[in-house]
Amino acid sequence: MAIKKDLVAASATPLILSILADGDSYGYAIIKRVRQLSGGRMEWTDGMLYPVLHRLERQGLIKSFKRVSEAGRGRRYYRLQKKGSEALKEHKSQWMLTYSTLRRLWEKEPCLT
Amino acid sequence: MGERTMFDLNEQVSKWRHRLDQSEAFGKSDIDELESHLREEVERLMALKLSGEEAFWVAEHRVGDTGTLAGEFAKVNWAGMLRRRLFWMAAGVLAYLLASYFAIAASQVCVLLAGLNGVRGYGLGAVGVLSNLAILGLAVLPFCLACRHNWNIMRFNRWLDNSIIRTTLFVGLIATVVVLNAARFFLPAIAARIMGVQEYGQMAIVWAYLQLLIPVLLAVILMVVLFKLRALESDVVAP
Repeated sequence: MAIKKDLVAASATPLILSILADGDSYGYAIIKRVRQLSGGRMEWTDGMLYPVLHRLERQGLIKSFKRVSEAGRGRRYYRLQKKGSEALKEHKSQWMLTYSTLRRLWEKEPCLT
Repeated sequence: MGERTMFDLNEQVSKWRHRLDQSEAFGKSDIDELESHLREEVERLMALKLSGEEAFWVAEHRVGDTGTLAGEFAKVNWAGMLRRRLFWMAAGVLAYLLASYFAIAASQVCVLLAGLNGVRGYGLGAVGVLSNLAILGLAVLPFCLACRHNWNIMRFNRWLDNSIIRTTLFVGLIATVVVLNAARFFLPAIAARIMGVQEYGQMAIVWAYLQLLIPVLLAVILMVVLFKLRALESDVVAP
C-alpha cells in the first residue's frame, strides 16, 4: 500500500526536518532514508524534494552549503537551523495530536458514562 | 532497430541537462543539484547490475518529468524569474534606444561626411535617410541570427544570475545610450554650422519624413522577431 499523495505532501516538511535533526544531509541521502524508513511505501518523485528543500531554506528553517564528497562529487548539504528545530517541535505536537485523536477513535475505548 | 550505438552516459546526462536548461524555472545550481542526484542514482542502479542505459532511464524517471519539476521549481524561484523578466524588459527598452540612437548618430556622421564632400540639400537628406535605414537593419541582424541558429536564449538567462555580469551589462548599456544620445544632439549642431542653416534645413525636411516611417518599420521588425521566436519555441517543445 502506497501512501496517498496529499499525505506525502503534508508529511514532507516534518520528515525532512526530522532527518536533518539527526545531522547534516543532502537530497539523495534524505530520499534514501525516507524510502528505507517507510519500507519503500512512501514514494517521492525524487526531483520534487528539492523545491521543498529550497523553500525551507528560504523560510530560514534550514541552510545549505557546498561540500565535496570523498568520491570528489560536489554536493549541496543542508543543515537544520534554530528556527527549523522550533518548527519541528510544532510539527511534532500537531502530528502527535492528530495521531492520538485518530487512535482514540479507532481503538474504540469503552465509554463509561 | 538495427545496430545500436554505444550508450554514452555523459552525453545523455548533458542532453537531459539541456532539456532542463530550456525552462527558466531552474537556476544553474538547481540543475547541478539534480544532476548530482541523477548520477548517484545511476551509480546505485548500475551496482545492482543494470546496464548504463537502463540505469539512466530508471534514474531519469525517478527524478521526475521535466514539466512537473519546472512547475514546482517555478513556485520557489518566482522572484528570480520575475527579476530576469524585468531585466529583459528593461534590456529591451535600452536595446531599442541603443539601436535608434546609434542609427541616428551614425547617419548624422554620414551626413556630415557627405556634406564635407560637397553633397547638399535633398541629396544630403537622402544620404541621411538611407544610412539610417541601413544601420537600423544591421542592428536587427543579431536577432535574426539568434533565431536562425537556434541560439539557446535560456543560457543568457543563466548569465544574468551572475550579478557582476548583470551589473556590467546594464551599466554599459546605459552609458552607451547616454553617449549616443549626446551625439544625436550635438552632431546636427556641428553639421548646421559647417553647411549653413539653409542647406541643413533642406536635409532636415527629408529627415522629418523618415521620422514618420521609422515607428512603422520598427513595429514590422518587432513582429518578425516575435514570429521567429515563436517558431523557435515550438522547436524546443517537440521531443
